[in-house]
Amino acid sequence: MKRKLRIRTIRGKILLSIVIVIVLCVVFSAFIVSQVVKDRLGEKYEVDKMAATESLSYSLAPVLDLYDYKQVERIITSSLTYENIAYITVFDRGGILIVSAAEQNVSSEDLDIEKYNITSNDRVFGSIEVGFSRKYIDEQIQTTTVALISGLAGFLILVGLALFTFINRSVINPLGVFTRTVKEMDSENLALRVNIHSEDELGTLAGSFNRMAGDLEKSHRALKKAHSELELKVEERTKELVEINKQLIGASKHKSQFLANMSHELRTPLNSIIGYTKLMLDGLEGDINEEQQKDLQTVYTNSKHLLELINGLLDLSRIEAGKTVLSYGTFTISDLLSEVIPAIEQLAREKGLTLTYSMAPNIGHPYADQAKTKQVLMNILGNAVKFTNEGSIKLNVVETDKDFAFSVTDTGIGIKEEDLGVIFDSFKQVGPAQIAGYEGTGLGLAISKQFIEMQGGRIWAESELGKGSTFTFTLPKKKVASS
Amino acid sequence: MEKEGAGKKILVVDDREDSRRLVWKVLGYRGYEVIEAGTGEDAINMAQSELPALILMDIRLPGGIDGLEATRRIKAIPQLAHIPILAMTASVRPEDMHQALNEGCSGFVSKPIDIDELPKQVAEHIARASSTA
Repeated sequence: MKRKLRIRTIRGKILLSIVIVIVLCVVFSAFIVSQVVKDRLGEKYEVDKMAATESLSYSLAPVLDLYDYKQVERIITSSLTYENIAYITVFDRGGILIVSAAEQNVSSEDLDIEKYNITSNDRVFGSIEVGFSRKYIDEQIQTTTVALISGLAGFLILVGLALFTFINRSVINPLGVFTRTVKEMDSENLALRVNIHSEDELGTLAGSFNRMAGDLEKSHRALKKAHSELELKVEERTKELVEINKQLIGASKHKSQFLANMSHELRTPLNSIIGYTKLMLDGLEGDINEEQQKDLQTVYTNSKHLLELINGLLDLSRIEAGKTVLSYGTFTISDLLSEVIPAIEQLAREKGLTLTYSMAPNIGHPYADQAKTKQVLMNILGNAVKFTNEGSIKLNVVETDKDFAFSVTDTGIGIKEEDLGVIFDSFKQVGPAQIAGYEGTGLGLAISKQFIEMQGGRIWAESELGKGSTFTFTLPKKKVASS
Repeated sequence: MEKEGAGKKILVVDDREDSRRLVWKVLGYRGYEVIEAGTGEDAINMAQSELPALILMDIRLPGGIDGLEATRRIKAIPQLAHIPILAMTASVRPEDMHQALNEGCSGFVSKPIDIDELPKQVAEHIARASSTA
């Protein structure tokens, strides 16, 4: 599996570039050098060949003139010592071989043959044939070329090394310093600085970087400072809030206590007022005449009214103080009705009205605040009796899959359309003079509305003036908490 | 005709004299013998010495021992534990009523007292207590 060679450092890249350049230079120059050497030495070789042959023939001319064939042999034998001469052959005037001398181990293919006439003063004495060995010259060319190229390569390598060292020192090492310093800087080590002070771009870069680091350090410090200041402020605020909270809780407890006290204080005198008046009215203190009866009755009725007002006020203020707590439980509709119906039945009978009620026999059990629901039901039924002079009052309880709905229908005096929304407001009593005789606190429906809405239900009225009204409230079905 | 309360002693505990007198009148006319205590301590002492058939206890009493504490202590005394105690309270808060019941009250009457209801409740609780005795 071949893996791609990736150079990861700038040093490596530069080194590689230098090496490639050197190699290319060497290859290129090798090519040129070998050509040049070949040409030059080749040329020289040609010239040397000619010159050697010429000088030989020149020196042989007088010897041949004297027919000193021994001398000829001596000359050519000694000339043979020249490394590039392979053989020498001398012919006489008639072309007959006189002397020949040759080196050992000569192959005829590698020979360049020069022929020259041996002459002097235009007199031909013979001819000479010299065989030059090309092997020698080839060897020469080769060694020269190799030497030159090696020298050149060596020189280039040295230059390359020097260049690399220089680049190393001025660029790569500073970069390394830069890289290492920057790596070591994190949010903890913001105090580090790049230690490069050269006057070139790297120095500038380092300077700018150091400045930036300095700024970063400063803002980091400022941020830390702001952070701890903020934390201090938050702590302070929290302390303040804890204090205020304590005070509020204290005040709230105060209010609760106040309401509880008020409840007791207001009711206690009424206890005596209502109690003693009733005692006398019932004749338990002795007989009373008709006028005394009427007077006492007035006191009694008004006291009861006052009690109702106080109860209503206390209920409302408890609701407003958020002190009314719902106390949920499962109860049966029949239990609820049994608490309410008898008293209402009595009131209805006194006025000659009929009271009927209906609910499905297998109706479910609501999970709600029984006491408050009872209070609401009493209120609505009581109102129905109060505002009906003849006819009937019907209570109907229905279960849907979402809630339980209680509706009370009467054949009473009815309510005007525009008043239907208003009647649930505190202290609002509706009606013209015709119903001025109907006392009430004006609080009952307001409290009923609160009690129903606190439990997540709705309450509303429908009516036709002069014909009757229907008041309905719903109690939503809640999931019974598993216990 | 014998009055319903003949021979039965009722202890009424309330710090206000006219409240006590009202009860004394209402129950007295029906034949009950009504004895009174104005503080928690008096209530405990009188319960021990008089052994009433029923105690009407106002929940809020001044002084160290309030109605609930007196109830607790009376119920702790073996000879008195059987006596039914009705709490009289002006509060309508369910939590107060629950607390009264938890402390040992057999029931409660709310103030202002309904002078028709009160004798009925008293008779009922006495009857209930004697039937379980």
